[in-house]
Amino acid sequence: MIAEFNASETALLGYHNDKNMNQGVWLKRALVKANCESIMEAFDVRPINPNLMSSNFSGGNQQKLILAREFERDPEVLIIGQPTRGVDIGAIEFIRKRIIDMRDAGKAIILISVELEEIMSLSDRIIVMCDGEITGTVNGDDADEATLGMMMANALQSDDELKGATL
Amino acid sequence: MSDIFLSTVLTLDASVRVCVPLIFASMAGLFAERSGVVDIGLEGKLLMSAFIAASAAVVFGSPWIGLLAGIFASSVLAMVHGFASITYKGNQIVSGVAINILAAGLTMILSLAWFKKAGITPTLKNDQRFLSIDFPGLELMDHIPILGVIYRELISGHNILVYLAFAIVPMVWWVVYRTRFGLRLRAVGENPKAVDTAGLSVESLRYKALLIGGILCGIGGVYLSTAYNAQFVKDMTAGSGFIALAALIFGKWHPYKVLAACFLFAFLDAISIRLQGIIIPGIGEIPVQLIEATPYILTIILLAGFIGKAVPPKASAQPYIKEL
Amino acid sequence: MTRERRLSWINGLLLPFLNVLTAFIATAIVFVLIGVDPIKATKILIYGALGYDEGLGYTLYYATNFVFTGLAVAVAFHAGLFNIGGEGQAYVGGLGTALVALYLNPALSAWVVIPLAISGGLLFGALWAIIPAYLQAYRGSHIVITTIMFNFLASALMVYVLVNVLREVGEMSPESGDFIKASWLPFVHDVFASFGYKIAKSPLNLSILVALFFSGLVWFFLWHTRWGYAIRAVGKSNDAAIYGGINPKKIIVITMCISGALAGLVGINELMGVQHRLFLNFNFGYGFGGIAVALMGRNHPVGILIAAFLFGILYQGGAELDFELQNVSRDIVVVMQGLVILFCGGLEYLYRPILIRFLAPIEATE
Repeated sequence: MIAEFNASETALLGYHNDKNMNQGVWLKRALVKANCESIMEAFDVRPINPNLMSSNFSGGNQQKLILAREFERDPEVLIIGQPTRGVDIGAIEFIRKRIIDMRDAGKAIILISVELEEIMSLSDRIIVMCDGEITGTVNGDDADEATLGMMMANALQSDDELKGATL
Repeated sequence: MSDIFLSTVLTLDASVRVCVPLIFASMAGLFAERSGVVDIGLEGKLLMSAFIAASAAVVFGSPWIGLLAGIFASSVLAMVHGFASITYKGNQIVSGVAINILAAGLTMILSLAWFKKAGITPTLKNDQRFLSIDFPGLELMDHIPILGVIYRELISGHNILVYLAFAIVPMVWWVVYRTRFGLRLRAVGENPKAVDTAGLSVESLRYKALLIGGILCGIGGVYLSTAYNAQFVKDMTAGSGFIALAALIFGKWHPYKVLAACFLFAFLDAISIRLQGIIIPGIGEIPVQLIEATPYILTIILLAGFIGKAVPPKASAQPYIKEL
Repeated sequence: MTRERRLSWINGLLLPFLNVLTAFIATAIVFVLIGVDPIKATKILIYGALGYDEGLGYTLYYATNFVFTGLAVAVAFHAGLFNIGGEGQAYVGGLGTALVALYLNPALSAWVVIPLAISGGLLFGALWAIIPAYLQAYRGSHIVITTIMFNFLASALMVYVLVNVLREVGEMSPESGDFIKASWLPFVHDVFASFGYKIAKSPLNLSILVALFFSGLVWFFLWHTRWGYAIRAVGKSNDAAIYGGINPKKIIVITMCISGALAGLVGINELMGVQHRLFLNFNFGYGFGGIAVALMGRNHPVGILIAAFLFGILYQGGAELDFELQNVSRDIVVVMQGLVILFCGGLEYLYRPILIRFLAPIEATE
């Protein structure tokens, strides 16, 4: 996000070279604004005002604006870090649902988070890393906090000791 | 042979004289930049101090009052720089540029208002200037062939500010590397947050560094108008402040290396006058402009990392904003 | 009015206005210190700059230069770069213009020569900016320092070229011969005369249209093209720009070339418009003036046009002051430039805390 850009400009980041956003040398500002407005509506970003400076949105709404930008592009692969940090509870549920929807639509998502509960409820497969190395892989349904914690500390002696672990 | 020797000694002597304002200004810049404040305003401070010193010396009839007035003027500008860039966290480069332009304008306006001539002050009489000091034993030393000339021309016969300039460099080194203040100064330029966490005031350290810089720069300006020349003339610094900045970078913010860079640049300046019109066999005439431009070219090449690497203090040019 | 609304009013309008006002008050204090009545001085200044045809012509002529250098500084600012090298880029740009205007076939039509000579200025200005830009982008050398060095290099280069290369045989003063006639930009009074209107002679020439054209172009470029978007993204947040697939190094080089090219246009006004030859220091002070103009105009072309006009008034009015009053010279304009840079740039946030406290306090209930 660029704090000193307005919402519509922040929503354009990464896509300013897209063919449909430009006409010759002309950047279609009206279209950029309209797009921004529609994704703001879809993700319930408040207030719905593409001209408002990005920094003037609350943290949760900034987060939603960024997610809206990436989700609405319908990418095949999405890497998300901490998608619900600083977001209010209602919005958390909303964001999580969108992530699941995307998975159901057959897209690959890599979710990086510090919240174990979030990881366990959303993931199909969990990969734990410690000191730059992968220390374990579990299926989302089989995971529990204790095993994940052990993996995070790289305290597992061998994979055999971990019930249900798959390599 | 003796001709070449004498002219070499004389060129070196001229270099020493040209070198002095560069030393003061670059040492001033060293304090500022070591504390994390980029000082583009060296040129303006030199100019302002040169003007105020010459004016005060004329009016009050003493170079010492001129010295104090010059130091005061330069320090005031340093504090303006500090106020904008430390207290109000403005862009350090912008306020430095402002100081340069302000000084260029004010010296013209004030000279017209005070002395009825724009950009010039009345010529100083000898008792209003810093005059050269002859060392004892000149006659005696004259009998020694080579050393005699060196002693008479190079070592003796400068004014007190010249000797002060060369004395100040080891003092700067000592302050920066051997005192507690110096340690804190270097720390605040590299990692102001650590200094802040240790319970020291980043702002007060930076103000102190700028004040020292203001004083040093002031002496440099005083030298220009009351020692090297006998009056203030429009734009008399002629880029010295920027050359000093170049020397500071070229000397990698280390007092002795900066001194060497100052001397190199001053030598190039002195030699460019002597080389005018001389044709070097096989190369032809070297354009004076090329020699004049050499300090800048050398600094650019250094900055580009082609000869060594000039790494400025990490926090320079960044206002320190305390996290709440 | 919401707090956001008030904040944007404070930052966008009130604060810049107060900053400029403070610079003016500080100038008034300087006037008082040197024993000049500031109100009388202001009257002379305004009359000299706007009171009659010729004065207005001079004002607009000076303003033209400030538009070019102001735009140059502003474009660089938008990419987060501080281009202090306007002075040198304007100087070398003038050389580019001069080379075209001196050596092109005199028989060519003005419709060919003038665009080529303007391109010469653009090209040489950009060339003089490209090395500092490259060094900043790819070798990490600070652009402020390198552009300062390049100002000095430009002035050494130009002295060399004028003394040793372009000076005509037998001439003493370091200046070139006359440009070919086809490269002369018409004076505005001549243009008016050809339509039957008679206005006073002044150095004002058609470069002012070039300046207006480029102001529009810069506005369009920065806010209505994808390249302008990329430049502003880099200026606001380098990391976010990289995330958005923008290569900041490339942007730095491109932006500086545009900035240098714009500064290089000073020669159009001074050389093609008025002097019709190349001479020493024709660029003097406009590069630094551009910094004040850009800061005062908030880096927006409209603001820059206004600020440039104001500096034009000061330049021309300052000359009038010089003429009318004994103890003040036109260097007062330089003082004023310094004060504008100080209060609109360095001390930009001087009044912010107090304004926010009184006009837009954080509401307790939220």
